[in-house]
Amino acid sequence: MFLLKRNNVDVLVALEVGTSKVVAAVAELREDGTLTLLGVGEVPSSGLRKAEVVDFNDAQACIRQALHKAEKETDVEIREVSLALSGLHIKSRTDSVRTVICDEERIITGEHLDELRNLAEHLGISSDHVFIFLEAQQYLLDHRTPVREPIGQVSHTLEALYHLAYGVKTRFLTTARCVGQLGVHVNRYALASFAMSRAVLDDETRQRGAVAIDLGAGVTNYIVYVNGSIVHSGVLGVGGDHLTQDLSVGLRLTYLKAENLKKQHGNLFMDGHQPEERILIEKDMTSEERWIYRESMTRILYARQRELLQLIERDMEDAGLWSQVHAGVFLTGGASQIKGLQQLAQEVFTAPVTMVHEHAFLGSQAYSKRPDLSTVLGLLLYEQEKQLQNPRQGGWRKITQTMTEWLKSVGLF
Amino acid sequence: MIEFKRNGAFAHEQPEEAERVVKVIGIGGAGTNVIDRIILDSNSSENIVCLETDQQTHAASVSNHRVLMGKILLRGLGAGGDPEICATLVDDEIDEIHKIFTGVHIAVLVCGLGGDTGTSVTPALITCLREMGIKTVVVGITPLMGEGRRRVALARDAATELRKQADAVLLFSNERIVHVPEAQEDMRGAFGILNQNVALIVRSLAQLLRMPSIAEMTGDHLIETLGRYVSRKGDLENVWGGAGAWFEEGAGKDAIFQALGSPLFLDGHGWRKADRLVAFVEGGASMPVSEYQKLMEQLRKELPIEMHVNTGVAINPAMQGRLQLTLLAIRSGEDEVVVDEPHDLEKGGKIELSEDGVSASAPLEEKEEVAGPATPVARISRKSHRQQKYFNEQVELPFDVKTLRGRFEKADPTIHPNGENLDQPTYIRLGIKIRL
Repeated sequence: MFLLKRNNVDVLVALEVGTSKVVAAVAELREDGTLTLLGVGEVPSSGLRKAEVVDFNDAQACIRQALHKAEKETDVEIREVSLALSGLHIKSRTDSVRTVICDEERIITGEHLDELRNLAEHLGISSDHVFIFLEAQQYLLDHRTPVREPIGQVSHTLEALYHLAYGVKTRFLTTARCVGQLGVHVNRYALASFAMSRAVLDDETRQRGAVAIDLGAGVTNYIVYVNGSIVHSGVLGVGGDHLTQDLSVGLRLTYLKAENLKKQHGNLFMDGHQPEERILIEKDMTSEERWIYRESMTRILYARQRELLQLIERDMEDAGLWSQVHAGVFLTGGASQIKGLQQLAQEVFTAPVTMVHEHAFLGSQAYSKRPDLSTVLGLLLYEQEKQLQNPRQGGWRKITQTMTEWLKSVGLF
Repeated sequence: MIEFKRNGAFAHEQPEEAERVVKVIGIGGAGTNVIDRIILDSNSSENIVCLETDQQTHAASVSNHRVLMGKILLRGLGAGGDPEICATLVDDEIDEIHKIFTGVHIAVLVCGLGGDTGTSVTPALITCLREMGIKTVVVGITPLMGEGRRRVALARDAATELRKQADAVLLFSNERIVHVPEAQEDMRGAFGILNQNVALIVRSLAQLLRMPSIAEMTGDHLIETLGRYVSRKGDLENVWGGAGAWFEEGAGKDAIFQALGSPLFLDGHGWRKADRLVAFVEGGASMPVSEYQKLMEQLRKELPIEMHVNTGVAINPAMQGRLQLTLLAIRSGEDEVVVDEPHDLEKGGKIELSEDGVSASAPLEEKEEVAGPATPVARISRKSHRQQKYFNEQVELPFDVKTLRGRFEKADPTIHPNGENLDQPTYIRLGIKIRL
């Protein structure tokens, strides 16, 4: 990453290639460890369905524009990004690996953790799949004592619980190629639901047990924390697009008009409106003005949204997790802005429901009230965390690295 | 003098179809409550047995034939829902069970599925009965959703287990109590009403299984129909029912409304799932055919035209001048998406389309008047049809739901584990009517 603006700070860029828009968020990591949002570049998506690329050229054009806008807004030349990944093909599970501490003193070292990670990386998945998320959630010492940081402790055995998310390799490569062909290096891939949870849930909430749900346009990502560890995550191929599509079919509207109707009047409940009340659909070049029943719109939206929440509720129940979720359910994402969602969610979920529509962030506050940016903002926080754990090279080494890359690019090295 | 045989010249050569022996067994507290109601209503406890592990419930039952299981092991304190203990109870009482069920053809097992005695003893008992060659029909009562996730999860597991073993499983939900007006003031009374309705259905069911039906629906046919039920994961209710009785000729219509007004029918959400209705008429030897025909005509007018109706008729001399209609709406589990067809409202079809796609608690349910074609997911109006008004408004037929993917044409379809394509609009899949 090469900075035009500042050179005493590190700059992080998070990229989300979403169904409704492509977003690139740029933030600076100051020397004191704080993160400041510099700006966001976003463009409406094209060539993407359900968070996956269906038209390579269109998708790449959108990514290019989003990065360009971000560069323009922040004066940062973007060379590398962290990329949030989602899609219907992603599966997840929690698995454990175990090793014996053979040293005489039985002290756990970093090498043992590396060994466990190596074992986890070789856990069985289909040959055409690849891991996109592999994080140790908890370590168990002898007698199954759970600890978060085992280094330095004494034990005969060490077991690690890993949450694994994996998906079809070729689909990830398509998205990565979309970005890579623009000359931008992807330095980290992250599971979208995990990234979102960093922005939505704080440490205490994760410790108490919580569900974070990101209602996006094409897919709905959700993740469950118990005792601070990820125990479950999932992707449902239903999102805000489905609401619009249902309205479009049910009310015989074009997709664009249905989308406008949803944004302007969308509500899951009648909220005191009379059943006979109608909404005017303005005329345009191709169609006359029309009146549609508000009640019809509400019915369509209610049925879809309730079904979606019930799918998550049932999945959680099948996994037997509700009894461990004490902090409640946290809803975010662009599609969570529809009116009445909290009331509906409270009907479906027995746990308390909280809407996360604001993010506390240093820097540009223009984006603080944007639930649809939860994933990129969370990804920045995750990247910040990783940077603070393993600081990247800076100073002379960085200049050398940059020079080497440049020489390579012009074929002189 | 030539003797005229009423059943034809060779009547004596045709063996009469013998009545089968059907026993109704109440297992655990919930089962005992139901069989007690049957006994109190019919004034007879013949072929009705109570199996219980709790001394108090056992002693309070009005059944003449009661068995306290695990007298030594549990000392009358109940099994506490321990499946291992309950499995041993059946083995311990095997002699008594053999004595009870010798000569029995079909056993109707009534039990609660909340995780106590009924839930644990019933599977073990079914295994034992199957070894004896006895057909088993389970009438399970599932707990209220508000009773906690553990009980609901136990009920789901128990229902799954029972479906594997029993010949037929009928699941009624205690959730229906929410719609009983008495529940607001008197919980005990509301449960009593619910038990009474389940008891009416169990009694009719036993009667249908016992007596040779003179219409299409026989006991075997009923077991076969119910046994075909393919479970969707997590279903806790697959049958809705009610019964109504009448004495005067021409009053069959009232019996229909009485049956449809049963609390076990008072659920728009569940009732919508039913795709088959069994109507069982029981009457005395003097039951006129015209009365039966009128009743069926009236019933068909009250049902969606697509709903498949099976009828069963049994002559029971004990009924004398009384006639009884029992309706059982069964969800067979076949996931079919049927496109709306026009319904002739002028001919008297009284159909109120269920509008809420998902929940009984949805505010949209309050709407009572919707016009349009009937669908297989329509529910019968619970109001007297004289009070209802209909707008014969023209509506458009929906798109072809099988090909409708629109915006998601290029993307992978989102398929639910139950096989539904979630890319198709929810309101179409649930049959919710939309006014344009």
